[in-house]
Amino acid sequence: MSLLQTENLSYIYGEGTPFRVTALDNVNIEIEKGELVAVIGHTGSGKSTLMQQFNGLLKPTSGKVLLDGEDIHSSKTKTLETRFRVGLCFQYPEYQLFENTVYDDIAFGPKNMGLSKAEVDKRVRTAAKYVGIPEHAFETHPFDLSGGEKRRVAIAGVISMEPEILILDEPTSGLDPRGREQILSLIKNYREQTGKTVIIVSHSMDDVAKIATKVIVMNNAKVEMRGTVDNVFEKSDRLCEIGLSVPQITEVFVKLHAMGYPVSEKIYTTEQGFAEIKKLLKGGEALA
Amino acid sequence: MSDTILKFQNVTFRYDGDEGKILPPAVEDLSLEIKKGEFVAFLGHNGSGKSTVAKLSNGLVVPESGDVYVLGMNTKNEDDDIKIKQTVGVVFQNPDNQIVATIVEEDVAFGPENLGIEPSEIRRRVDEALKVVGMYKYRMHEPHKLSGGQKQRVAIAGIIAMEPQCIVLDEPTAMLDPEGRRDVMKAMKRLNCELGITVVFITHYMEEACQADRIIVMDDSHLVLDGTPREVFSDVDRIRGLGLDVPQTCALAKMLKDDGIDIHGDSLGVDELVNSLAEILNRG
Amino acid sequence: MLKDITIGQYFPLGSVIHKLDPRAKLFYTFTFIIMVFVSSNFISLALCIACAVLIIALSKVPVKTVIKGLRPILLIIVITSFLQIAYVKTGVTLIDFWKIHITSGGILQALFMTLRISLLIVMSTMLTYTTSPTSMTNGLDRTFAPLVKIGIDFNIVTMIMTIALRFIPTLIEEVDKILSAQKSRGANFESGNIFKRAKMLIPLFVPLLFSAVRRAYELAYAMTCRCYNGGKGKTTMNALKYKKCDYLVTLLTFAFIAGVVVLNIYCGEYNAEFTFNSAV
Repeated sequence: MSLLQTENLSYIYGEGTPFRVTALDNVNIEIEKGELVAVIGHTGSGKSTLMQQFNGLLKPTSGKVLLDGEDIHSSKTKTLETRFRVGLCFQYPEYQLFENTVYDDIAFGPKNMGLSKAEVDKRVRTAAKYVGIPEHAFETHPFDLSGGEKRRVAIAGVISMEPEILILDEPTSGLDPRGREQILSLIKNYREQTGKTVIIVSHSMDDVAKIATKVIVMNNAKVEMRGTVDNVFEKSDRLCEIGLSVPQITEVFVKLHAMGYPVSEKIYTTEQGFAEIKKLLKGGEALA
Repeated sequence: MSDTILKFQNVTFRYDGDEGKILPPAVEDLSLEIKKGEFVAFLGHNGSGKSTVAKLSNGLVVPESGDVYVLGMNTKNEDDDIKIKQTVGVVFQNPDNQIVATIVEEDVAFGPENLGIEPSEIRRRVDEALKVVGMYKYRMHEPHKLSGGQKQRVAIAGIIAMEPQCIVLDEPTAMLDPEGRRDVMKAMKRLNCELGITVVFITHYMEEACQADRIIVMDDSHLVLDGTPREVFSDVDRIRGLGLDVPQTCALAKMLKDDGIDIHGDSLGVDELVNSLAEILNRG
Repeated sequence: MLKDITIGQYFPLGSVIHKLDPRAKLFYTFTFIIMVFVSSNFISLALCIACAVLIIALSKVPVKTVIKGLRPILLIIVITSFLQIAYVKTGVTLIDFWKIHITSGGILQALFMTLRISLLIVMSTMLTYTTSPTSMTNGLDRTFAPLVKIGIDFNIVTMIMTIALRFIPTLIEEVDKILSAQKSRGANFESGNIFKRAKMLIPLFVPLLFSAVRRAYELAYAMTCRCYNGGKGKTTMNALKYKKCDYLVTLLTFAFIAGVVVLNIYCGEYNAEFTFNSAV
């Protein structure tokens, strides 16, 4: 049994109005414990709607979302419980900060869970550590932080609920390369240290290539592709067609391959590219 | 002087802090010149002062010391204010916050209307601007129903309709998906090639910066590098040290070079690297 | 979903009425409202009703929708009618039973008031049903533009209206997003006593306020970049143009004024007794 699973999940916005839009169309996916899943798709492909289905914010028009095999909408308590078990961090989460101190903002979720003061405190400190916010910054006003720091505080606000599944919607958007790198490495560390499931929603393929164990590609409310990073990036033409892009380096190797050079097409980091070229050059020398 | 459109002369600027706190300068002793017809990219990590450069370039803010000249007009001179803003248009990061009207074409008309231009001439400019950015068929749409990339192109059209000689874009692609980014870049290139408008844009995406004629890198309120993409990205370590990325193609070329493999050129784009790799593989 | 709310209740049906110049529509609506109050007898009021029926028919707005528009004021109509019936004691006594004393005068007065209020509401909703918010703003702008000569700058007002119309959908979307985000952190906006609920609004309003302020700043910069200076010397791309049918409608509006005035004089002041007797 999968940790999180959807069964023929469909969702329609504005049913019965002229604004009717199918956001999800018969989606079936399974997410296992400990995976780092990247859900990619262009704007409006249904990926954000899917995330809100995962934590029960939206109710399926038809089909089911199963957490540990149980329908998350089987009862009201079950739905509320799901919100805490599946932590969802929205795009630009820093815009949802509202408390007067960093500490209080991170503590908002755990407090809503009705935990004891000691437990809340423990969780705030642990979450802050994961995102690299030092304890001496706890009394700072969130608005006095830099953009990247605010983002990390907001992510800590979700981690502090200790969800079994952490979902991050476009966690790196709008950040500079250094900020992007920080966020990605904290996500990677968090997963390695906790062994928990993480789902990242993104349209940045470069980010995905570095850390994901499984990729789901959404297009027009449907699952277009799924598989390992290799499986998905192989189809670079199709990815471009549906408004996504593959890393530059992948493009280079796909082109070389098409030109008849015996290189692999499954290259998406410069390190892999370097190794591949070296291998070929060595092979060539051996032949000569 | 005559072919210089934008000139910064020892410009220092700082924002006001809360309760009279004195903040460090956002831009310090910055001098640079942008020539007519150039396609320039500004790089630098967040807080390096790039956005302030955009605001300084048409007098939205004026320097604390030093001067900014637009076609020789000092931005401190309020009499030239309208003329300066008409010459240098600025487009911001969040397209949502730049669109004023409830219909696309009325938004594009907003600038020319403010300038008091004849209605028939406004109509011509609006249609043309929307065509250049590829949004003509959406002219009667409501902006809030468009995608991010489409909104950003409407915002660009709104500036183009004032027929500026230079357009400065502050991270116009930061909030967009890959498709939106491609469309906006395409529109910017058309402005530069077909209309001869000087384009200055700020970005975090190195692939975009590579498409410029010239790259200016800012760090810690100062200009640190200024040259062609080839020159700037040749120093991979320096760029990384500034908290920026190098395009993957340059990074790979650099790794191979460091390893003693004789690779030609700097391999800026995909095709360039494909060619140089093909060459060494043939040799090998 | 909050997003589905349409603002201003505009029905884009593309009828003759929809295509009229907003100034013509503003003019006849305004005139109509005054004339409904000027009408002093049932005959003049009948003319008003005829005009309203004509406009509704031409506009293609379903009659059902028009009547639905009256629902919010139903209570007001019932209360006023009740008061009229209870206090007006002129005319023939119709019912005299225990303490209930109803006269023909009371009934007619109640009917008269009901018609007046209904006509008022119907015609103002017809204006919004048939005029898009943008077109309405344009119309108001043009109508009041001459006021600048006496020092009232209406341009600012229309600019504010335009920006409000432009940003309402954006802010609604934002509210939606903040609500979802805070719900994801376990915020409960739906239950608890009034104090608890009020307190739960903080996580919504603080981010919303900050976002609105940030948007306002950025919008101000963007408007400055596009040479906005308070609308001085501004021209308009889609300048409104009075067409033949607009002139015709305006002419008919004047004819309508004349009609009501003539009927008022000819048929005299509305008099419950007279009207009832002649009706019988």
